[in-house]
Amino acid sequence: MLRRPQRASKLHQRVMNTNSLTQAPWHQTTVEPLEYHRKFLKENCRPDGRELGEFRTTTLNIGSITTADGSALVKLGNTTIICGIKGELAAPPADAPDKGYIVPNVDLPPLCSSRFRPGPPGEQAQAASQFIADVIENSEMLQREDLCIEKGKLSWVLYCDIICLDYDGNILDACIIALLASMKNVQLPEVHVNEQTGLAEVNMKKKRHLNIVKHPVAASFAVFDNSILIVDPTSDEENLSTGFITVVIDEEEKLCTVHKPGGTPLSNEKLQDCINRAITRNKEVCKLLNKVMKSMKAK
Amino acid sequence: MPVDTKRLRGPEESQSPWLFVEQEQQSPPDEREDGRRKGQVDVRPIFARCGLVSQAKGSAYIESGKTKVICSVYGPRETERKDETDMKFGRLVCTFRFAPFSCAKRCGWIQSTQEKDLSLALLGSLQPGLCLHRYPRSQIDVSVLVLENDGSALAHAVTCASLALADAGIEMYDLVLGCSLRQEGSDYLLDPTFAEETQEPATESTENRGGMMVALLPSLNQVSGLLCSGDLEQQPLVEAVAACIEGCQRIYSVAQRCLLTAVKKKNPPPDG
Repeated sequence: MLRRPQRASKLHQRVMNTNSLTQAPWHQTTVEPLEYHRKFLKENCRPDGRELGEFRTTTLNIGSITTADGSALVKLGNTTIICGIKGELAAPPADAPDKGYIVPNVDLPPLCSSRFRPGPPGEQAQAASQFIADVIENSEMLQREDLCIEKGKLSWVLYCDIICLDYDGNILDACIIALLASMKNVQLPEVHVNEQTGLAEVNMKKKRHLNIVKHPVAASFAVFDNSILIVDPTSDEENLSTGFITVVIDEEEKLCTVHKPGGTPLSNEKLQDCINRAITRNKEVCKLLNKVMKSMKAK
Repeated sequence: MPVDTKRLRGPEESQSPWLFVEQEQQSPPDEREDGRRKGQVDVRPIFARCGLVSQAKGSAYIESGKTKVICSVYGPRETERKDETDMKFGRLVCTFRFAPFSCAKRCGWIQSTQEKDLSLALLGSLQPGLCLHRYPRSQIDVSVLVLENDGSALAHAVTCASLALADAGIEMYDLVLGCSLRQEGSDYLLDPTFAEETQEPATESTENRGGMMVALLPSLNQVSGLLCSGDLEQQPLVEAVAACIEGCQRIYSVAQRCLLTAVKKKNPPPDG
């Protein structure tokens, strides 16, 4: 069962001592990684000392990139993701003249891990980009009509560029938090369309925030040995798992997205478990986000 | 422009809102905006930290004013292409990239020709500092990402990359530090910001206007890279090189301290 985390240090200490793993953890992790993890899972904890339902420490830094209209840096344990949003002007799409564009893109550069090679984005990056696009649309966190300046003539395009700086598992959760935080940080200038010339006139001095109505937060789980669910897997745990599932919940406890790309089948109860844990995660993240936004306003 | 089929695309064309802002014609100010002096060796204070990326062998992050650069080093590892394996020396591969949100005008995802050019300049500057003969048949990958560009991106990338290489334990003759400069008429501006690099000139004459980047090995006092663009006469050129070298020497103590902190953190001294 995935419970809210309590102090797991005593359990962790016991496992480390009984298996004398403190003596040679390196050999255990590289030669027999699965056995190493199983020893911890038997005691309901994990090699880094977390409980099965515990997320890593999340830190958030908003608005550090001044060239971007909105930015956020998220650290989930070691996994580091930076999101920068830039707004540009374009003609609205022909099939939806009163809507703007939101274009998310996730990049996993060779900088973040040795498993990625330079060149065009691989499968994982493309899948992540599509996932983010789906979450934005399903959760309706932002109305695309808000991005329209003049129907049929001019609208905003929000390019959300998400770059991973350090890959230690669970990038989807971190990307969603980074996207949400930077969307709340975005300030777009006022734009009018001059009737006579038909050109846009931008007033950089007057800026306003976006109207974010929903706050979706993701919680990712990995399935171990076809039965045990662990939350927020690290890169090693991801490599050893037999299945993944990501659940996205908004603050009204409504389900936005469930992403389960193949892998071990899950029963109803386990799925309900995941959803419940995601609901508590949403509350934790929204609290953190509000705290950071308040401290920024105080400055 | 090749169509990027692997990324989510927005509209065919979009323009930055800055194009539509009424540009007031401003003559370049007499004083530099951040209070530094013209014609003096005044570099911006640098914040440097090593060992940020847990997955990389070595990494470094530099913040200088608003310019933010991060670098990761992987290697030595097997060369990717067997036909490029050198039996006697290791290979150094450098990739320099701007994040799309790093400049005032959004850059695309595909590496532009400017980025490729800067990658080669970075490679040329770093290579003399490394003992590549100690890593035959291997490859060392250096990836630099500029998170925010407020001028002197290449110079700080050189410094950041050499700190990351040192953090990775790659054998080097010396650190390679970079410093850049902008010459405007008779004055030079050391470590220019983006606005200073791209500002419109006050007068019509093109004499003595240009930019320069120098990469230096400080304790050996040898220049490993020198990029110069624009139109400079001989005397200002020589003075500019001397100013850049002086600027690099100023950064040296910060770089040394950063590495010392990183080493102490990785190998804490035994207690008692």
